[in-house]
Amino acid sequence: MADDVKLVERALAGSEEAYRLLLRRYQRPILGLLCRMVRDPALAEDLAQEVFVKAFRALDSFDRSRKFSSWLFKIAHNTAIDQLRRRELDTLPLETPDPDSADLLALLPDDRAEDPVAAAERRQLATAIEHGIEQLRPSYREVLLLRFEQGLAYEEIADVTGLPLGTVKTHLFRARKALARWLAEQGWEPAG
Amino acid sequence: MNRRLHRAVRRWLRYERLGRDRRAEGALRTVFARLPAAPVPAGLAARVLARAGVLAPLPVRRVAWSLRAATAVCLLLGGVAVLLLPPTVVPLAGSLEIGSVLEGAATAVAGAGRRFAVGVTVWRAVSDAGILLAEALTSPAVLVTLATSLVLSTGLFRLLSGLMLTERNRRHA
Repeated sequence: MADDVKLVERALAGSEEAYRLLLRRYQRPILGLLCRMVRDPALAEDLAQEVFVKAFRALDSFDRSRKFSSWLFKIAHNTAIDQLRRRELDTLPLETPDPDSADLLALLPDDRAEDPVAAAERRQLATAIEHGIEQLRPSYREVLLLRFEQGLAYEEIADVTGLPLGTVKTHLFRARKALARWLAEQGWEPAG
Repeated sequence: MNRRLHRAVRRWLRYERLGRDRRAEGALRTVFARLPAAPVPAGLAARVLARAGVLAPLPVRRVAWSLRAATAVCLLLGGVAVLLLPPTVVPLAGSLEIGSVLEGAATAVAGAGRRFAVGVTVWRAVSDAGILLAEALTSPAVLVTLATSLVLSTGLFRLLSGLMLTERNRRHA
């Protein structure tokens, strides 16, 4: 599998296939991040398009010494932040979300589930986690997703978000604790 | 398998409660890995590539210079021909008279009529012969003759066939 920089070079040389490969590689992570950031799948799709269009148009300005994923996530971060500022989506919901009202992600079929009861229980837990993530402040939510969903290192998260490294660590710690607290409050606290 | 998410969550919450941050981080990463991924909408890549102007434009068919030159010459000749057309057509138009045109048309129609009449005569003769044959076949005497001929010819054919077979066997024995 060609690395990102090689794909970027091929794309800049006019290879449509290279653009397609970059898209295929990053469309799911970018969409997942945006989906959880803006909490609106349709809007997230529009923003994901925007992110890739921006990135592809500015591909020649990409610094090859950096990681392409960090550069792309930074564009996604800026796009999401702009959108959150514009639409003020970072307000917390007043009512407690209904655990039975499964959201888009939780409604997805899961081939790992083996029987309907287990699948329903699993969806319930997934929904609880999704709602827990939604409860977080946008800055906490983002670092949490970048770290645990996308697997970025602290330094990369600092690069993407523009936050100091110490702040990233603090945000991550607090985000983790807040999410754990939320799940415990929802009854997922382990016994004993 | 279906309990994996539960186990991951409970393990993570246990580590959080115990204050084991490093282990809690690892467990939370496992939790995220167990969550369903966001579905990618169909056609997203195509829309992005179209908006970014990446999709290759349709190839423009290049026309050879010789073909272009030939086309240009043809157009030029066409233009000259249009200029020369009136002086050429006018004398031709004068040589044509309505009377001669009508005469030629009438001659052609008459010729076609004669040929049609010949065709009709032949057809009538064939038709008469068919009628006579059909009438003959309906009479008992002709039918008896036909049946007798059929039986006789079949017998003779079998006799001939037997003779040929005997002769051939005798030669190749």
